Parts: sequence; C-alpha cells; structure tokens
Amino acid sequence: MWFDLIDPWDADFSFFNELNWLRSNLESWASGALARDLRAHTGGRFPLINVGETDQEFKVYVFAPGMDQKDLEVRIQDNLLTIEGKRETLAEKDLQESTVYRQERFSGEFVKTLSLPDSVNPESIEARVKNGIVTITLPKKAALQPKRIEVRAA
Amino acid sequence: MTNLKFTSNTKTPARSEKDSSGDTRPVRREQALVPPVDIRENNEMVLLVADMPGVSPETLKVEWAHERLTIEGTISADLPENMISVDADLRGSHYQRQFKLGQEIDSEKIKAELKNGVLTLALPKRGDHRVRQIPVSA
Repeated sequence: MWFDLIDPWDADFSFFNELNWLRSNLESWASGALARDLRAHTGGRFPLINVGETDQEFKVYVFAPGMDQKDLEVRIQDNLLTIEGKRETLAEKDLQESTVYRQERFSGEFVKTLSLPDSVNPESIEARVKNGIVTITLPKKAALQPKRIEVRAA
Repeated sequence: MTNLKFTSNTKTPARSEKDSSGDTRPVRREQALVPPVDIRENNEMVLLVADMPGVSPETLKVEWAHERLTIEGTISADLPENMISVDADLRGSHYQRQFKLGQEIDSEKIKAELKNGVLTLALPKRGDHRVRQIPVSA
C-alpha cells in the first residue's frame, strides 16, 4: 500500500559519494579552517553538519531534528568541539500493535567532533537550537580578523 | 532569517547564465532533499514521522491530492551575509517527498504536528477499512 515515488536510497548514495570526495579534498588543503579531526567520529550519518565562515566567525550548523537543549551536549576540550546526544525514534509504544513499514530515521547515541582552528576564541563560543538545527557560533580572535585599512588622500 | 543555501562555493563555482532581465541564475535546479521517515501502521491509523530540520510551520506544506501525500518544506537558518561554505553534509534548502495513499485513509482527518524539525503525521483509516474480529463459535 505504501511506496515512494522517489527512491530515497539512490538519491542518498550519490549525495554521500559526492560529499566523501569533497571532504577528502577539503582535508588535504583547507588546513586553516575547521577540519574533521582524526579522533572525530565521522562514520555516522547523523547528525549532518555544515560549516560556514565569515571574516569574524565560524558557524557550525548541526542538523539534529527532534532534539532540544536537554538532549544535547556541546563541549570544547583540547581544541576539539564535540557534539553528543541520544535520540529516540518512533517505537511500538507510540503506536500500539503496529507494523513497521519504514525505519529510516537515526536512533541511538551519536558523537561528532570537529577540530577548531587556532584563530577561534574558545571563551566566547555560543550554541543555540531552533527547529532542530543547533547553530554554534565560534568567533575568531580579534587580532586574527582581517582589518581594512583606510586609504586617505595625501 | 534567510533561506539556507549551502552551495559548493569553495570549490567549483556554480554554472550560471544571464536571463533576459540580465540577472544571473544557476542553470541547474537544486535537487530537493529527501527527508528520512519512519512509518508504522495499526488497525486505526498510519503514523508517519519525517526528519525536516530547519523547517518551521510557516515553511512547511503538507498536501493530499489524487491519493498522493506530499510533504514539503524550506530550511531557514541564521546565515550571516557573505558567509562562505567550508564543509557541507547537507546541500540544499528544500525538502520534498511524496507517498501514494490508498482509499482507506480518511484524508479529512489527517493531523500534522511539527516540533523541533520533526514532522508527525497521523493518518486515520476510514471505519469500513478497519479489520474487524469475527467471533468464531463452536
């Protein structure tokens, strides 16, 4: 009675293959930016993480649907940013005497680790969660931010 | 709040073309993200749960038409201007997934709830499609 009009697995696999290629490329040359540490647990596909950078800060977006602040732990130690938590998914208790048709969502414990570049000021890191996205803001040290030098007429 | 657009701008720049108004647009349309789902069914209803992080009630669309259920949503997140993407597991800003539903679902009574980026849909079955136990007498 249920079937998908789009095959999710096909889409997923090509998506991840492309990413793996990207990531190995990234790690080889983006040494200054946030890179995944050797100690990082990158095997799992939950939660997905995006990282962006501006002149002033790095922003880490953790896609952790169904989780709020009490389910998550974000910590920094030895220049490593760790995101840890546990998620429960739909179970028998949510629908009595039921049959499972699909169980694609992640359930269980997860740990993700990112290594921080030296330019990050570890004292002023901030994490917020909204609509299942945890946004971690990592400001850069003031001395290491690019400065614009005003050019004046002589 | 702006729409989340993580593109591979640190790698190959997206191909673009000029349209008649002179604006630059990407040639290829972005592929929709497929949200992972859990689906369970019992005699009363079908329960569907989908992970759609970043979607708010304002950007969520649940539609039932021609025996097809479509769930759609757009990700919004706090993205500073002139931010460049360093690394992106999730590339895209729009979720979409479609399912075919039988006549047994009472589409008038579908209930949707969105919490912390998780969509829960309760799809009750019509009374005459529920299984009835027939007592067997000796």
